[in-house]
Amino acid sequence: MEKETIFRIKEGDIEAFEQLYNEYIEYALRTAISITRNKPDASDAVQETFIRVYRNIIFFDEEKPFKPWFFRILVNECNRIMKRRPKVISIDKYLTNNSVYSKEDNYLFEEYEDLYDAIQGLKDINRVPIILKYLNGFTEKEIAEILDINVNTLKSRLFKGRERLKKALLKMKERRIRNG
Amino acid sequence: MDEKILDRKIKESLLMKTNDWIPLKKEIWNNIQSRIENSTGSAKVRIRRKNKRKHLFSSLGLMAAVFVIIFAVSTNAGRAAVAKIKDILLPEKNIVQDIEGDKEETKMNLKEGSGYVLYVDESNYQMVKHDGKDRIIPKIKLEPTLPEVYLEIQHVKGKPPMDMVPLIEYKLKSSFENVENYGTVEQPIKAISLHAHNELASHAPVVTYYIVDDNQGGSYVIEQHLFLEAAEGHGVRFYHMLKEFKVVNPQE
Repeated sequence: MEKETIFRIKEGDIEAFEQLYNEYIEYALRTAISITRNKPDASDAVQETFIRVYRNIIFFDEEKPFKPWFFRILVNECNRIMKRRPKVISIDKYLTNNSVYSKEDNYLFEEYEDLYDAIQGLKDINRVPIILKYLNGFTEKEIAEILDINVNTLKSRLFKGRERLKKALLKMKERRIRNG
Repeated sequence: MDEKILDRKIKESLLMKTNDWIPLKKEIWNNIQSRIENSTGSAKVRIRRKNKRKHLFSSLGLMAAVFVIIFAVSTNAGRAAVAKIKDILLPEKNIVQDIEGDKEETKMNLKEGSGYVLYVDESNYQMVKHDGKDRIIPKIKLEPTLPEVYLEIQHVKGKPPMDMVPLIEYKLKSSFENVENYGTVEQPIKAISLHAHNELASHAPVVTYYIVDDNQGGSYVIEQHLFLEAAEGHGVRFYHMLKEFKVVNPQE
């Protein structure tokens, strides 16, 4: 199905490209919003990614899986856009500077907010693999290919990322309890 | 927290916090479509596409066909193809490489060679011409007592990789005691690879060849020349540069 779509795009069929767009846009945007941390940058990154895919698809080998190739371009675009901005603050500063949510908030919602904030407070080398793994369901091998790192390095970054998330969640929970 | 519960919650939190993607969908598509139309020089792609199957080529297909014709008849076909692929690849990108146990973020710049492109770490290397071949050499000169360090790329027309293998093997055997033919390798690039060294000493030269099919009946012969101690430094840097080596085929 995807092979056929890609073949048609290579032949200049814009309807096939729109079909591919509709198939990929949701997770492309979700991923870009998570990586860039804001919608305007995410929107730019996704737009540039699809343009690059359209112009570059003639060189794509249909025998290879398309999804990792697509997300590799997307992650590169997100990184390129993020480099234009000042660096984000570290998780410790993030936790210090961000007050907890009101106790009236729904507990589950609050927990998801905390977890998302904790993910966003991670260093990029831990954060981006976690986004790719949990949001897109990529295997470790696929993420390693997308990020151009070896699988062992990736495993270590995922592990450390999860450990830091656990610690951050614990801190947030303690702070909530302290604040009543 | 239980590991599986944490996994589920990470996924759910990412989904929940990115749910506002929907309003962007239409706007982004409109921008993309407009840019495609502008780049093809046609403002009527949207209208034409409904009838495109009645035509031999859509406007985009026609563009592609024009490119193919231009490439087929022009002596500058390879250069045009390289220019085209250069336009669509990122001019620079950052990679993280493991240099002697330390992670190092490196900026790589897109460079053009004879019928190919690759990313070069220009903070540490420069691309020069050497006997008509492209050679990537360290910017900092090594001590004269050390073996040379370079990555050399040569386009050999009319000789496919299988024809090049015995020639290179013969050449290597005249200088090295140990010559191995690794056969086809997938990393850092798909190629036939040959490896040669003498004794295993830190300053002993180590040569690796990658012979890449140019898809036009010829080959790209890539020679990585360094010494054993440099394998973890220059070797890793060359590896990452070669990973992005792309032959630009004018027929495409």
